[in-house]
Amino acid sequence: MPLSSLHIATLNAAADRIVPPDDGTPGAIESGAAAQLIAMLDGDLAHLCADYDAFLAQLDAEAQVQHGPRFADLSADQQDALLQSFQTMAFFRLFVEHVHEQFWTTPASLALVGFEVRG
Amino acid sequence: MSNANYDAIIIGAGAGGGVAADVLTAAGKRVLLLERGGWQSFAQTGRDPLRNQRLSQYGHNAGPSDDHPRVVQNADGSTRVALPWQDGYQANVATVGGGTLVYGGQAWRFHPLDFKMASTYGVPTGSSLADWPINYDDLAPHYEAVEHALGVCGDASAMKHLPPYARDYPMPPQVLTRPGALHRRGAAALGWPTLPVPLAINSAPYQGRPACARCQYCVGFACPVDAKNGSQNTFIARAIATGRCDLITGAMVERIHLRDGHATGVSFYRNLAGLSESSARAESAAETREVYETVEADVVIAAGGAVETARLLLLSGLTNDHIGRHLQGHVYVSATGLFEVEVYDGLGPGVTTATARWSHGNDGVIGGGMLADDFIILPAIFWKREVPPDVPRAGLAAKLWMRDNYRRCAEIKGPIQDIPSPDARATLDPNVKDRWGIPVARLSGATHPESIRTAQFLHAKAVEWVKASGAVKVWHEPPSVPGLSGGQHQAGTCRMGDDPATSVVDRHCKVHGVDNLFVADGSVHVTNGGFNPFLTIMANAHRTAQGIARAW
Repeated sequence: MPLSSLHIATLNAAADRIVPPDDGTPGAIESGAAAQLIAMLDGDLAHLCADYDAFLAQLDAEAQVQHGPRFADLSADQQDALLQSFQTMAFFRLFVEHVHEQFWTTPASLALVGFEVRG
Repeated sequence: MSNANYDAIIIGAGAGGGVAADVLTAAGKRVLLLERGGWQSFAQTGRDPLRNQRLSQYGHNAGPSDDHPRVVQNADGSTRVALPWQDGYQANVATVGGGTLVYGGQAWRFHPLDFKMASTYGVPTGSSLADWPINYDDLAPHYEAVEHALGVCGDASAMKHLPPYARDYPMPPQVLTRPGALHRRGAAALGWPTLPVPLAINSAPYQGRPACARCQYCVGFACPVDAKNGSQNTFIARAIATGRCDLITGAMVERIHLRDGHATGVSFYRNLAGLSESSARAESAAETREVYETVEADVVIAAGGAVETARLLLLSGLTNDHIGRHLQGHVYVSATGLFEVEVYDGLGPGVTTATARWSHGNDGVIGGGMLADDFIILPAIFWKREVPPDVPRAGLAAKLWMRDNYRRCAEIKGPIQDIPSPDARATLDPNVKDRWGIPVARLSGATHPESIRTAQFLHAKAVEWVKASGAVKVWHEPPSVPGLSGGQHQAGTCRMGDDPATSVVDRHCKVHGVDNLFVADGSVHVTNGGFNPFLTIMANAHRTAQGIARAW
């Protein structure tokens, strides 16, 4: 079961704070990492899709309690502060690793660290 | 000689099985080589940074498939089923070539004392440390033969920890990298001798294949220009070219038939597509057909790797209690350093420089190990394994740390002499069967605690080296908890010895009590050396197969 469409925006927004765009270099969204992760939730990570839905719902609920709008509509600073409060949550840390796994496979990330494929 | 279908059946087309096929076909024998995996090209193996034999986060790229589960027994006795890319499986590879298709190719000879661990150090309580029944001199001519038949680059004159070589390597070492030069200066400052790491990778064109393209994907992947020398493009290719070797891929061996101390043949499930099982299912699910075949031969050689060979001998009804015990591999230590300047130069494979200074003769610990610089680490793997523990795992700081420091890091790592435990073992699981209905291997136990002490010693030396090379910061903790260490370097489960009460095969690698069944993989290693073991597997298979051919 793919991720609910409601939560795709939330995942994208959160992933883009885990690996943020900066100084002209892509973050999780522009690099394609977030899209790759969403695809994984209908593939190798499908068994975690329900957990993702629950986690992203919690992120949105927390955003609405603290600020009113859903997570994706908060400012970057508000998003960072909110994610900070999830640092000790095991599932959040897993999400962070999933975003990074995907990011560091993208051409944008290879360019970022100067990894040029030879041969 | 008899009415058998073949002179010899070899089970497993990896490092040892390929060498045995080459030696026996060269001696005029008709050989059947059985491999559960298939031929695999560079394109099929791919370059997925998260699904390879170096990082198997979501699968791997060279088998075995999910048709081959195992049971992992935890310290508390509870068990779980593990797929080949999951924790605890102790995976090697299932393709033509076995692990040599995707290995890094560090082509080390063992140290003379690696064969004499018990008489050199004594036997710690609870361990099954023992001497090999053969020594370095017995293997030296076979090391040399394999180095030339396979194709190894290196500098024999630099191997001062070994007796002088009769012949130099067939190719000079790879050109030095920037981190390699740094580590040579660091070792020199410490007074440690260094040597170019011998690699089964062409530093110059050899045997009709080109020199290494210096790409950054090496260990864990197949070679884009076929400059990496494995069993599949050397020994097996030669064996098939004689016209005397039939290779059957997609062949899952069920048992070796034994009667009155004699092996008569083997039975196996044969995938008629000749593919590894999963790819066959994926490509032609409806048409995939398997047949059950029994083939006879005068000689049977098991070479399926330490876990599968032990499993097969047990499935075939052998009852020697040592089968499956003493499972070992290598406990590894590593130290990664951050340097003030960029050290990354993008020149693969990346392993250039080692020291054997700490292989033996270390006060207070048993054995030691080799230390060397590492293969280039892909960014995705670097992120998971090499970022210092104090760097944030999320946010701009994490991203910027990678941007600013990926090219400023270099690592020293190495394998220690595992101290074997009889309780580290592969047995047949009483409950779980694979899809052919064959009981799977259950893995239990751990390496002996002395392995951890040796690892902590060697780790301190790795840290010392990286600092001497100029690192301003060094990280990675040493191992602290004994576990099973029998993944890619698995060994020990059919140990060689003169006494049938304490070993599985004799010094000729013939199974005690069976007059024509041999083992030609790492299973026979009594101890696994403080070095990568494939060259020893190949040299010993060469010695074993020559012995078979000579007596026949």
